[in-house]
Amino acid sequence: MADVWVLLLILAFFALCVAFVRGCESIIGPDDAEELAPPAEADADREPVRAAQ
Amino acid sequence: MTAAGWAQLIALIVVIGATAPLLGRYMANVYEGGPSRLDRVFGPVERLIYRACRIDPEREQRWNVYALSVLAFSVVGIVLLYLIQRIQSGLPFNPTDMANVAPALSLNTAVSFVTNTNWQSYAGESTLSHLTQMTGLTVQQFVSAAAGMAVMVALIRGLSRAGQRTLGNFWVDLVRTTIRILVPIAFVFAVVLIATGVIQNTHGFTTVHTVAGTTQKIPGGPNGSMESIKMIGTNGGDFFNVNSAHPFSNPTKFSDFLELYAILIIPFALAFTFGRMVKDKRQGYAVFSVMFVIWLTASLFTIFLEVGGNPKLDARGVGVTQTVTASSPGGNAEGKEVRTGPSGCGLWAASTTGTSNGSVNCMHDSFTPAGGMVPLVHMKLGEVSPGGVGVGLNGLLILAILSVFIAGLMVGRTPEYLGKKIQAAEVKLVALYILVMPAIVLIFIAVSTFVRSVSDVSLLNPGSHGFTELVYAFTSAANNNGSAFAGITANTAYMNTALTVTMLVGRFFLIIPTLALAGTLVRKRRVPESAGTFPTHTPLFVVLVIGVVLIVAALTFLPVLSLGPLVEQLSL
Repeated sequence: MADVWVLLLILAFFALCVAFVRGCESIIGPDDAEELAPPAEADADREPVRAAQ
Repeated sequence: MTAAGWAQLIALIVVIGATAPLLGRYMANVYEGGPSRLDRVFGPVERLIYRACRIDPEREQRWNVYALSVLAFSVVGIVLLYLIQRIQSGLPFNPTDMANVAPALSLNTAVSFVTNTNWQSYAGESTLSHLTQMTGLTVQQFVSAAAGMAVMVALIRGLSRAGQRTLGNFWVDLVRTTIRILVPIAFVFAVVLIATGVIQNTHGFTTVHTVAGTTQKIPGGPNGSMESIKMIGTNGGDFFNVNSAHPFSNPTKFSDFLELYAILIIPFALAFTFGRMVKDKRQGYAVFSVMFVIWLTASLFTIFLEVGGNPKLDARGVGVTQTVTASSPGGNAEGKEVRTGPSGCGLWAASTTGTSNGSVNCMHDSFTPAGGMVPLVHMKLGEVSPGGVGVGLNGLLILAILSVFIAGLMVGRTPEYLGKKIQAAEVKLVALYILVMPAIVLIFIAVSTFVRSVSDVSLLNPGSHGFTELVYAFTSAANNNGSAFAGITANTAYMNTALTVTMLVGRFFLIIPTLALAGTLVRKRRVPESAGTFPTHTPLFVVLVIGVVLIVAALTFLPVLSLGPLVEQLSL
């Protein structure tokens, strides 16, 4: 029974973390189209993490 | 301070100064995905993992998906490690017949290792099987460190990219950090440490007859492999209860030096990684300077306070010598080995608390009150000097953003950091980050003083020293450090639960605003540098950041320190 309570406690904490993520999303707000660079500029600036060849 | 003490400190600085830039460059290349001669070795392994886990390495994530990936990975890690401990008696590699671990202690240990804290409410050699130590704890020592570094690289991408939405892929960053950085370095260190005498076997206890005519049980186990990543990943959890004060974990003066170097090298090198990734090495030098100045100051304070010893012993003339002799390193000798001495011990204490390592080679509870306060304060600074792998640099970059905000307030100008405007959303997230740790520490300290089991069972000492033990425990847990003041019995229902919650909040409630900050910064376009831009690579900025670090900590923690180590020192 103790194991079940422990697992519920872990899940409850991580549910709280997900709610915290949502809270931070509201602080940031939606993407501002003016802020985001046009695709060409964004691509030039990007340094993607590539898988090793 | 003895000549040997100075030699150790200077040698450490020289070796770190020579190797940190090289490692920093290598790590930057790993995170930028640049071609490497090692691709032939690591590439197939990575592709195998990606295929097995169905990871698309080309697919990048926004900050919230990155954060949810970190959370998902961590919750699975906690559940698995918890279950391993709960059923360890029925699993193989249990030559010492260890019983299943109790639920509260299993949860505390699982959370401790997944959060990279490595707080140990148990004695490893008398609680856990070899399998639990190998597949449970040691695996988490690798991946929890890698997760911290992944979050760090996401924040750096937030600063280095402009006008974008994504921060990379958490799973790719996790795999690359583990495969290309932690595993190779830890393997080399493990071999060298084993060569110095750190044990690595699958034995249980060996009964021996001592020269005093009694019998003693000598523990065995796969310690070398754990000892290595314990240091490299700034984890700190040891196979043995007394950590690196145990001769099987730290057998010689050379192993002591190597382990000290292993604690510090990646955190310092990450400053150079940062400089390369933001395409301005001067920014990396500035960050390195802040880390180095605080670390060196804390080290020298701790060393000299311990070398100075206890003034009460000299004044009373009780026949205790604290001066250097042929057979004694002098100073405050309680809780220290002769081979380590107060200088070697002080240097280790400052290094382990400036990072989120938490290993010890002597007992911090036996320090002089002022000497013990320095490691405590060092943790309260947020462990940014040089900090735990990944999370330390995160903390310092966030304090740098706070510093430019304060500088901006002084001159009435919108602050910028690396060309990104720091506005309301960023400052709110920085404030969240800075408030979480003190809040959880101070609330739990206050509540714990009213809990009967804490005063009756957990605290070894009454009065201000006992209070310091409590303050140290929650500060260590909230900063994911893991070291203890040694005078506290933490394996009680209350302490296990309270410290579990503290470690969880201290890890994930800092990671989430960090990633959110990266998410808002990555969208911003870069503002061209102008005559009014406050430069962030100058000595003035270094001094400003150090000042902000000290002032934030002092304003938050001076009252609680005055009730613990300060009043104890004044009562000497």
